[in-house]
Amino acid sequence: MSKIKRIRKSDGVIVPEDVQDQLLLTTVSDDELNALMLEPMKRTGPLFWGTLAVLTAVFFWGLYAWGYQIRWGFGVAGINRPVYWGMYISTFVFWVGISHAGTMISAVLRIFKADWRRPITRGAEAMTAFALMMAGMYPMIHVGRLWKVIWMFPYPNNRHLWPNFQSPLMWDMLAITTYLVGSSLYLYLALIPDLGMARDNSTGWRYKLYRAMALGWRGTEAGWHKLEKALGIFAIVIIPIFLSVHSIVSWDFAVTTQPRWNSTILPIFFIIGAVFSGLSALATILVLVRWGMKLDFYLRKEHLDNVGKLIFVAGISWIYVWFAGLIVEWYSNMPITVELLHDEWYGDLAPLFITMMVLNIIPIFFLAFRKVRRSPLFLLILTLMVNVGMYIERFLIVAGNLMRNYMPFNWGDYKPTWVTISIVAMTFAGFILFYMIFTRVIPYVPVWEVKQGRLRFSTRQVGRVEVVTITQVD
Amino acid sequence: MNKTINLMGLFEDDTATAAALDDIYDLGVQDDQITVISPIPYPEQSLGREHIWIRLPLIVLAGSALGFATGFFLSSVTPRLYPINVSGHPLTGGPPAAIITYIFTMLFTVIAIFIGVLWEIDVPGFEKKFYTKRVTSGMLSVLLENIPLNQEKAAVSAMESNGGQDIHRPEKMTL
Repeated sequence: MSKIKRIRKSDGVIVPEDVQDQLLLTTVSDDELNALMLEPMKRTGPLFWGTLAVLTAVFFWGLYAWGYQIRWGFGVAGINRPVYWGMYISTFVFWVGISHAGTMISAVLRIFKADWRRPITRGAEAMTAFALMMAGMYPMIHVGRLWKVIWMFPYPNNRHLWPNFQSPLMWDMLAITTYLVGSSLYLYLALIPDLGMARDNSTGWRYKLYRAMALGWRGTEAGWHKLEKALGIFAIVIIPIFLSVHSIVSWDFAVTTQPRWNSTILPIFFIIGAVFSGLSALATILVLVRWGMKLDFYLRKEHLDNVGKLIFVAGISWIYVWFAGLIVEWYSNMPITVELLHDEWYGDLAPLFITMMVLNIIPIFFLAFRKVRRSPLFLLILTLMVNVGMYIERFLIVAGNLMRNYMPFNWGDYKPTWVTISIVAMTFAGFILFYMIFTRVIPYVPVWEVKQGRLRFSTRQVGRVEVVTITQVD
Repeated sequence: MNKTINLMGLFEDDTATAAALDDIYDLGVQDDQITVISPIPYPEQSLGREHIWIRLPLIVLAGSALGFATGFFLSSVTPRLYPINVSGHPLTGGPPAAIITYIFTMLFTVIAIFIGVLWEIDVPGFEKKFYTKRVTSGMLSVLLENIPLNQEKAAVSAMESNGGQDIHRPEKMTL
């Protein structure tokens, strides 16, 4: 017997949940839309300030640990032969990965004119900027003698010191700087009209801040046209930058002769992993900001659903690329590679490896279900799992693989110290801290883009159901 | 010399604005005397105005070329001025030079987009300008600058007849 539920004429026209939500958006005035964004920015309770205080404390503790490391030398970080790249470089790769999905998702969705992107793009771009700032600290932390960082800059000097442009570390610094500059400028350009809106609706220190940042924006017809053109060009340019940054980070590893690093698949593996972890971090942040600022009106379940779908696709791709790398390594049967694989599957690293696989694969399975993707709580839990899993993955790639090499007398282990853990915690606290402050100072949702989206939005009845039709206006 | 005035009117929607602009053009007001300020971008020509010429792509191309030249110079020329002999490596390696050149090209490109668009939009500009905060409430503002005094009545009428509100001689305000 058929279980299909029939929709009869007496049921009237069905308006799906997402369409209802979008229709709601068209019923509010521009003033209300402005207020719906600006008011939550001023609401801060004990939980907000308490969290801020804890994060600030962790951040300063990390700074103290960094100072301690500078004072007593790199040995206090637990770095020793043969694992010269430990948690610092693992965390560096992790942050670069997190940074990836932000601007990428915003740019790709802008190019393809995906309408659902509008409320989430700024949050994604800010995630990129702050994650890159945290990543950018690691070369300085890892270099040990911080004051010699200037040697990486090309300037004529009487000692004839010159940066080695053939060094992957040099490529790294330049690529990350480029992505940070590009992402920050892209974020700021799209922000200018909303800063103008915030300026017109603020008083006191906020007015002064927004006035300075809005640069005298009025919203003239020519101004809008040029801004949109610039954002369109930016979106196209930023995508190859995004692809190159994580490729270059992966070449730090791939151009060495270290077993399991010296592989042509590593750039693709890094990029896919970055998209997987970055999208997961974006979903985590969207759920938390939506809950913390009560932005349900802007950040709807439709957005969580769509980001969830993207994570699902990225997750499946990550499994594929991981397997593609593994099958070649396993089949080659190179002694050191086999040793490393055994260590990972059955040896000391097995608990980490199994945890990583469980945390990365289980969420992918659940994200196949619409109800899970639309549940903020489930999405939060699953995406946090992915990010813990991806952090472990970075650690296994960097520190795990360095424990074994072509010279067995040179094998060893690695254990991070309190200094390492404190410094790593500093960047996690710093990221959350800066992001939280950002949400209360800068309009989190691109209000002008949401307003523009209303111009595109219309519905029509198809049979018994109301469907969305899109008008091409940008 | 004829005395000139400035005039501003507000409109609730784009169609009314376009109709008012039509009537204003018919009065002989020139394109550079008219500014439309809106809360969101409208499709080009939707308000009945000409295509807006923009030099941004040329600025971006110039930025990219400069970035390419800088990257090439740093990666391929300077290593010969400051030679670093690393065993077996050429002073200038092709693939690493390609990476550095690529990165500098992209870096200068994004900076050129940013500086180019700010220059095109003519910001930062903190001097007093004609503006109304009602734009952020969703109104479209039509600003006529330096129109002859004897055209004022006709311009007001053109705006009013198309649903224009709060038509007034604006004061410049701090932005």
